[in-house]
Amino acid sequence: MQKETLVPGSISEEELIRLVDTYSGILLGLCRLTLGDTAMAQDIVQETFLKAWKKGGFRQESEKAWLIKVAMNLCHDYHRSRWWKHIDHGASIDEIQIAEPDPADREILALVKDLPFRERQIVILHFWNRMTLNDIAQTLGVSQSSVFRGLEKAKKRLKIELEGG
Amino acid sequence: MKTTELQKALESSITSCQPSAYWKNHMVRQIVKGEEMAKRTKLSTGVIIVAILMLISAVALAVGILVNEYYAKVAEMDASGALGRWNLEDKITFVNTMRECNFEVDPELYQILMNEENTKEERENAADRIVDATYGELIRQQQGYYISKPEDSLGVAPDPVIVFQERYFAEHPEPIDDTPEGREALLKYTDALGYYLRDVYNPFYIQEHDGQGGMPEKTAVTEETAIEALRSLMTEVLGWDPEAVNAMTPEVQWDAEYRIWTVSGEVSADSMKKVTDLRKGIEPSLEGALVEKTAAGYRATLLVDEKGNRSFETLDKEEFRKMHLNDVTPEVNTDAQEAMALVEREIRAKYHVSDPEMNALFCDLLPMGTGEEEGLLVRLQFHTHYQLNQEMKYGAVINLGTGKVEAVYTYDPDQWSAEMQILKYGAETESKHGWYIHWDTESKAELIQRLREIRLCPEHSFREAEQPDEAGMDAFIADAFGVPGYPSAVNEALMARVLLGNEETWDLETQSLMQYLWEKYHIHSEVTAAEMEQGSSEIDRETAVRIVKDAVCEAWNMPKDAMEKWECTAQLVQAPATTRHESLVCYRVFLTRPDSEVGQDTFGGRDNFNYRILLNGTIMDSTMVSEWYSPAEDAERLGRKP
Repeated sequence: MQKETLVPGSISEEELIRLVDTYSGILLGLCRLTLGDTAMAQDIVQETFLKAWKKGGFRQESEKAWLIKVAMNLCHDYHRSRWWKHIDHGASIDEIQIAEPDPADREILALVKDLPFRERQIVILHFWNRMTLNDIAQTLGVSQSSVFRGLEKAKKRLKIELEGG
Repeated sequence: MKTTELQKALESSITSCQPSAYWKNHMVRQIVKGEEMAKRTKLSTGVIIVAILMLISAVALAVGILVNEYYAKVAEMDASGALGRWNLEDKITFVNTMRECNFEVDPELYQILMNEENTKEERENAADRIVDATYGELIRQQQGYYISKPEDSLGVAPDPVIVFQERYFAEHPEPIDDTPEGREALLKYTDALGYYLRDVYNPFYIQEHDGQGGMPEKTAVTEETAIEALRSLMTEVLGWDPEAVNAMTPEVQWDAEYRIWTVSGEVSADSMKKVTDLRKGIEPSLEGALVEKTAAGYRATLLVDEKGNRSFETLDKEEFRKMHLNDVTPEVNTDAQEAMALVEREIRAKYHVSDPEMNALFCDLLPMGTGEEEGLLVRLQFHTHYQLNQEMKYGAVINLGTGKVEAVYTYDPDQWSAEMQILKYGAETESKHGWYIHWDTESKAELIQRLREIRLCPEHSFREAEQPDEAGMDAFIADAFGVPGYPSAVNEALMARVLLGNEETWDLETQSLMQYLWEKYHIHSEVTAAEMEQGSSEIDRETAVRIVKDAVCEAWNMPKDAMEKWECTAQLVQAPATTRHESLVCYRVFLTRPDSEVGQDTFGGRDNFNYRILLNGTIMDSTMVSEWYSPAEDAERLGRKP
């Protein structure tokens, strides 16, 4: 279960270590998938935890939701900046170990990576994190209807079949 | 693809990263100790430019100005619209930011600004003068004003570029035109800011044109906003119980014809018991149209149009629309961001522009007008330097209603049609020498050569065999441009009419390129170079007015004091000049015959005189606009026989 008891200003070094241990892998994977770049994902994860440290805790939302929200928005900021296109994308192999995906997954992931940036974010949050449209809208700071439109477009592009239940 | 497959693939990718213990510990240590985090990403060109910016800022920091913070605050104010609004509150914020960042602020003026007992006008005036003291000169230069009196503060906000340049000039007081290096340095400096602003705040810059509408936008007010407006009306204006207002279920209707939301909501009579001042809650004059008593409680209704205008007093849509009528209410389906993406795609495709080349360009957007059709058209201009010395590269016109890119063109003259190249040559030469008749022989011969190449006036082809003398050339040109015998009437405007047809028939690309040429070369000026030389002793405004009045009195044989009651405005303006690098400053004096004198005597109508006076006192040009009566009308009006 996600911990929801942190009070603003009360985060300790131990809490920070726990957060990093628990979420750094997921956030790294999330940002890497969103941006397609490991080095940049590392920078964003660092910034996310720095913000958590400065913030000092979490109010009503869960720490996981908060961290994902911050990381996603930082991804968006990086993406929006045109500079990132010129950045040399170098992964740091000694710091991160990355497991190779199955060939079938690789094919699907390639389709996801080809989605426009915003649609990719929506797909990841909706299908991976099982977030509702409203939660995604709040996380990305956009309207619910644009999340809906984005999701519908992405579904068409990915040719997702509706499954019963 | 099935959703379960997608979910599995996402899960496997997201959980595939295992950060090492070393990296995690290192990160925690840096965060806890407040050390600067080492970044994996390497610097791009853009970042390097910003690094230069930071370096420059660091130098400024050493002299006590928190430049980075200051730029960021000004840029934020700009992005939030504060510099566009520029009301008292914004001015106070700006001046306080200046003070926090150690700018020199006149203490007396600051005291006036902060004293709430002073009137709004006094406080705003004090703020304007504070801002003007630091930025006035640059703003005037940028806007083409020339105002010598310190009390003529402009009362406009300095944009981030002005703010940036002020620092640059403070650090580099030597004139930048002296050396190419100096100019290059300024360009780099300003471009660095441009890249920063573009990437952090907005990828484009919307230019404003006098007399034209702003950027057409998608419907600004959504259903949610309209409901929010109703709730705030009920709680803040009518004083109804917020709990009851929040609990109500509003009804919303969008009227596509009038483009107005009608929002209404009902609260129970019980909830009104909590309202302490019932008279405020159910103001008799508001009952009926706005507030209705229903069987179960009270209903309030509000009109909100797409631009956020609201009607509290009347629910008459037609009346409301008239009050807030705009020239055009375009159906915009493409926003500026989308438009830019569409246009960029077309430019890349048409001119094979690479990503780095495209990304290095700045984009300006110009709304093209306010008419039914023009209201939806926006011109996009891609250029190399941020605001300063723009070197145009590509342009396009897009219709924000249809999302269709109507025209894509390049500003590279080598890729223009022969006619456009001739017009560029004409504009360039006219800017140096004036109309055709003042050109030197070489320039005239060059024009003729270019016209022969496109076979203009084939009946003159016999002349190809010989080299005509100057008189022959003039005759040829006058003939070619349809004014035989009058070479002195040949100018750029006439050439454009002959080569491209009447202006009304020009397509969007031609319109855009011609506008660019004429702006670049300051066409439409009839001032000669000799007239441009200004005397060393400049006349003041009163003297300019006096000169004009004397001239009019003399010309119309009136007594010298005949014009004392005439309405008079005199402004210093910057007129288009004949060379690229200099401009012409003059007074524009506008005299209007007062109503009391209309029809009394010789003029037979109301007259306006519009004069331009050079600062050395020479009358540059004049026009007289009269509302003339026919002799019969005039006689009837004055009770005389015709």
